[in-house]
Amino acid sequence: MTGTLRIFRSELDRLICGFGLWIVGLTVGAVAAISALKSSIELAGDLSITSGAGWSCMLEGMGTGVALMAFALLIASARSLAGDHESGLLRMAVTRSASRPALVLGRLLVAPLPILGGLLAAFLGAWLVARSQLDFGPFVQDKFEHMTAEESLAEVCKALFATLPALVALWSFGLLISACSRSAVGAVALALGLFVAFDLVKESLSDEHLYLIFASFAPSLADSSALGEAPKVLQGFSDAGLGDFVLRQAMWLPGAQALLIVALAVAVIQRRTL
Amino acid sequence: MASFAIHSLHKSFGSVKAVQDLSFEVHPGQVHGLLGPNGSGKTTTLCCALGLMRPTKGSVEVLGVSSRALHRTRGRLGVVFDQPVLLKRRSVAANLAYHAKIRGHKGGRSHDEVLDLVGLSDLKKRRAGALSLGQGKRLALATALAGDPELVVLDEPLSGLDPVGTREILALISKLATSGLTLILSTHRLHDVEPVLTHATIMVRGRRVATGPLSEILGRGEGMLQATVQNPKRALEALSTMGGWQVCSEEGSVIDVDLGSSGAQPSELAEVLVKAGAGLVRLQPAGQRLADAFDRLVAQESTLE
Repeated sequence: MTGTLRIFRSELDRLICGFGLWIVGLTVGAVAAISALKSSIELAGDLSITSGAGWSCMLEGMGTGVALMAFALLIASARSLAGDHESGLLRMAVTRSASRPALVLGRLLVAPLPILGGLLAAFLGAWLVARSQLDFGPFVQDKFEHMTAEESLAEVCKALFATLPALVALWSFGLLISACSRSAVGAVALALGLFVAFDLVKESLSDEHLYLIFASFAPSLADSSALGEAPKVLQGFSDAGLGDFVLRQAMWLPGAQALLIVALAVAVIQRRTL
Repeated sequence: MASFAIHSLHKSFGSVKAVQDLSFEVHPGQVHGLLGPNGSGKTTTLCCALGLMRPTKGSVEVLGVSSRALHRTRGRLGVVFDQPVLLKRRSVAANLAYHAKIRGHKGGRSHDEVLDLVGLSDLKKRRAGALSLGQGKRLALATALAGDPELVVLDEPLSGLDPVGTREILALISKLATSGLTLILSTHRLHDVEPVLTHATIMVRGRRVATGPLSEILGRGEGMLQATVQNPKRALEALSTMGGWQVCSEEGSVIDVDLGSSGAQPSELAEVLVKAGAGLVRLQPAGQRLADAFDRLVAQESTLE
């Protein structure tokens, strides 16, 4: 356990002191802001909406920012073990203080920082734009109040909570690919290739199964599920939103998958030559 | 108790036997050379010993801990790999701080002390990527020495270094050796490391051909003579007919001959060379350098095969 904490601390140090996290954070924030701006222009043109358009505008922006962040997370996690294997840092760690499982577990513990950091950047970018263009009151369309401000806020939180576990699973998936690869470039290419393959498989599935696939680790689906559906709900579309069953799947299935994937990554790293 | 003990180590890659039945021990205070030509299995041996690779058979103990659980040595082991493991965008001081986080062991030498020891105090703020190869190696050594290691393993510490860099690293190794630290050096640069070694294990084609104190290994070359001749071709022809004598090396007009257990006297060798018309210029005891002993052992190994 102490080895895991040592790896966690050293990885945290690298993440915070490196430029990557900050550049990705700024980019995610900027992309979320641009997307929110685009959405706000469209919503401002809809004269039937007189109040509360800020909620959906913000979530639209966040959805785009999170999709970009997911790519960055996948690249970062796929690069981590494979890159450190190339540079010799893994060798150094196992000869000094960390067991092989600790190499994976320590890196898994780091996941909340880039995930929450990215979400915060996406939120700030989208919120600042939505706040400057639209209001966050009750959603009123054609003089009819569809949702109160509290209900809108609850929908936003629900969508974010349904997205978080998938991002942790995504990070784990990157670690597994990284544990199996011999080079950082190979690991990133393989992770992105599998990501695209997942996207293609998703397109061939029915809606119901599509949501289950989202609950795994294909992040581009964020647009078509929780974070994609919530803005529609907040704009008063009656057929939008995720059912309770799908939402439950999105909450727990990625966590279970993450555990399985990490166990596989540990098994791989236990056997391989460092 | 031995600081480092390898027992009947075997490692195969498919049909290729990289290491065969290797055993040796390194005791506290020794400066032990793991020597051999390229491809002799030194790095494979170290990889198995350091838990980076699973041995096919055999066991390794480092500071009383199995090689698969070296993290339990908790900073008592320092390793310097062939390529320095450094964060190139970070400063020298930041690299030491990062490695200290991985090591997790507090106490022992401070970062300033260790930078002073390796002669990098003035470059504390320089980016690791901007260091020369020699300075990079010294920084790698500093990361291994920070804390309180009892045993430091250096894999090819001189590879890629120019003569100045080589001298600097050797001086540093000498300084560490006199401080009582146990050191293991894996290298093929016998001539360079000979002055700092107390013990050695020599490997050829994955097999151990000699192990023990350096004086013993060098002592095995008694009976070696060096002949300087004008006509080496004739000399070699004449020597090839003499049973029990062995030509260990031949460089231009200088031939090293091992009279071995034949019981022959130097005068007999001189007589043979004179009679063959080799133009004997000088006959003297061969200088017992590690490189000579190594050549002799390799030649013996080849003969046995």
